[in-house]
Amino acid sequence: MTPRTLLLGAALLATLFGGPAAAKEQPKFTFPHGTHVEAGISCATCHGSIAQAKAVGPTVHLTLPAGDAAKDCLQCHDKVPAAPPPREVERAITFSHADHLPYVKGDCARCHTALVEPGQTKAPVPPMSTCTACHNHSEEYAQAKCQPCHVDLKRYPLKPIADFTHAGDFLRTHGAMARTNAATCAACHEQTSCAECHAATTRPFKPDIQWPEQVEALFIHRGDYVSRHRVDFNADPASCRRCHGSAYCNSCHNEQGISPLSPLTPTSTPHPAGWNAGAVHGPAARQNIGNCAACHDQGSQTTCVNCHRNVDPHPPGWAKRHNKTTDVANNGMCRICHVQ
Amino acid sequence: MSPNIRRRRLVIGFAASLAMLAPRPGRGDTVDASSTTMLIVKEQTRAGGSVTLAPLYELLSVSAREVENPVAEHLTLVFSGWLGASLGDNLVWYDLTPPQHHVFGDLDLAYIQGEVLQRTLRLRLGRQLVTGGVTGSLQLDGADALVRLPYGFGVSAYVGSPVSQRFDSRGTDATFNPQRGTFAFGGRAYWTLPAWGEIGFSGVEILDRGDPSRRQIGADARVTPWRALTLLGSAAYDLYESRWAEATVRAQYIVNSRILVSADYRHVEPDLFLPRDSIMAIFSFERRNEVGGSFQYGLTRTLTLLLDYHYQKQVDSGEGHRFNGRATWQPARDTSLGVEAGGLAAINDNSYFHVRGFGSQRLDRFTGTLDLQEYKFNQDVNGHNNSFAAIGTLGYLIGGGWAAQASGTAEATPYYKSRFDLMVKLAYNQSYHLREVR
Repeated sequence: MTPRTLLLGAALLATLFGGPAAAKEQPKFTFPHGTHVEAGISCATCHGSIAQAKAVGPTVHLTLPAGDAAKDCLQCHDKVPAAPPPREVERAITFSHADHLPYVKGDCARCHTALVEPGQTKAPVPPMSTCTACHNHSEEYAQAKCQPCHVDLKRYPLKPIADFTHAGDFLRTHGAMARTNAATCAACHEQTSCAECHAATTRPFKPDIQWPEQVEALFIHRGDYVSRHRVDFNADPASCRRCHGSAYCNSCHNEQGISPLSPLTPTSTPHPAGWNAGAVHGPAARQNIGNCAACHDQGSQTTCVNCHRNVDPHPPGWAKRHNKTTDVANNGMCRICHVQ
Repeated sequence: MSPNIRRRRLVIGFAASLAMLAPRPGRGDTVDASSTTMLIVKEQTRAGGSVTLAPLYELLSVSAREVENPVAEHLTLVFSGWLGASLGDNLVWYDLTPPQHHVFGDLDLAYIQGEVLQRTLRLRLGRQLVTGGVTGSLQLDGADALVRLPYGFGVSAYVGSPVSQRFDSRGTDATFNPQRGTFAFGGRAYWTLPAWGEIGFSGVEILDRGDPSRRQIGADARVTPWRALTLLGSAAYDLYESRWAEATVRAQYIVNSRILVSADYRHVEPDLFLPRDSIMAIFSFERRNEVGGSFQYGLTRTLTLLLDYHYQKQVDSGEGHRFNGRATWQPARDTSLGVEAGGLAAINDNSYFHVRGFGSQRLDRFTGTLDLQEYKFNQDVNGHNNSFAAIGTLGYLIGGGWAAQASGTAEATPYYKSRFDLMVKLAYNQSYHLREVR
């Protein structure tokens, strides 16, 4: 067994059996909110500082009353009970109680319809429908504008793509969105989600191989892509080139015996008769050099060099955009034909 | 690259991954774990002959967020990788040199990320995807930093080495990464005005063993002048070639809750997507323009229609078209049906028309799907002008995050008169929430 195999196996075992740690026990709530609300105790009696809170967390805004303010407590209690240990609340949403309380005239129950009771470990949080009851967020929702309200949505299970539309031709537009708005993508998606498609250099197969059941997903290479990949490439070579380098194309072309350096079938060629004439292959190369690169991008070993050492291959305007001396000094590729 | 260096890189890479995964006190308060075990049996053509491949894959993805620690806030550990064992012929199609490799694997991601100085500075180290601005999406072994400044300003920067497959082809012409190179750095400066948009300026430089591979600067903007309208624009300028590599503008307008329209224009010079140290980079000067739009209409609450058309024109050359229509109907929560039709006429090349029908039905713990695809080519591909594929799946939700699935594919394509593939999959997806979150 090679070291590589051992290490890969160890990584696998560590992930499977190291696994996520056991759930950390949360302390149970002990305060009976319902009893106190029924007794007419105002929320502000204990949570008075919430009126000034511009953000959620990091701790619950709890200050038990003292002195005269505690007289409501002493109607039932012999003394004001001790405050529970501080409970950390993580900031997952940008929300200002200070800004919202005036709109509900201090009536917390307008949003907090359910309160935490003794024995529970999680406090119920007002659902998003509470927000949308006043704020019209349908457009933001459709356009995935979750920020600036939501700081981190990754902890919530992703909704099916049919529910959260990522509207329109999202397959083609999400790149432009991400270019200026990666933080919004990151609010819901971990990089593991992006890597399923965008780690094309290391992934072993295309996404529809792994998820054939996702029939509604907008997979680019779905089904028999081998037959149509050339048409797609010629329609938009830059899109293919964002993920796939020449060696990726050539690895398969080599295997199929259509690449010039393939050891398998060195005599085969995909080109029509007469292709070697400059007037035939030249214009084709000028129009889409990516087609040539899919088989011939081997630096000094490429077949193009044999002739083009003596026949100027540069397109019109090349000399204006380049300084030959600098290029030859700084780019080894130039030195295949030019002397420094 | 010598075997020793290659082995050392492997050891370092996987040791880092193991260190991230090892159990420790105060582990991530939210852990997403995903494991997929797949056995695929399929036929493949190689050098004119046919071989049967039977790879067994294990794909693992673990991300732990909000890991308690004394140094950084929002500490996140992410690992995503895979391992494959070929039970049939050598699966590594690009490895034609004996001996055959039957066990192999790779890392997609392995990084650690945290925030310090009250979330002013976010740092990410390891194998990651760097995104944004002119960089696009770059798989990188390195470091990425983001500094959030007051008033919505910010600066990000990264440095590292573009990822190559299986660690052993970095710095060679055999790398699959289109960002061919051994050293990369770049960054983006931006200004965000919440609810209004963002504007950014960025740059990227990639060196391939000292030679220039990519050297570009760019600008991007997203503006929402009013809530229903979003305007997007970006441009990339190639400093090595002194030309625009790409420029796009896009407008997206939500007419009402049912209708969304968009229009876009793109100028692209595809030859600039080749590395500048590629011998192919000297032959061409391509310029293309594309204009089009899309229209989405929710006919009813359950029926949605999406139409898309784009016209392409290559300067001093031909023209092309791309169009697509898609209707999806979800008559019930567990039922989904769809039809799709479209076509693509590539510039100076072949064209095709396609139709597709798909559907899924869930019955208790079972889910079945069917996907039928038909492509008709205008000119023959390998002597044939027709490609048909039928893919069916049957899945069973075991519970506790586990699901099992079997799928089969039947194809009649220009390259296979008939072909049948089989895949069985056992998947585990689970999130563990270990702390109260509001």
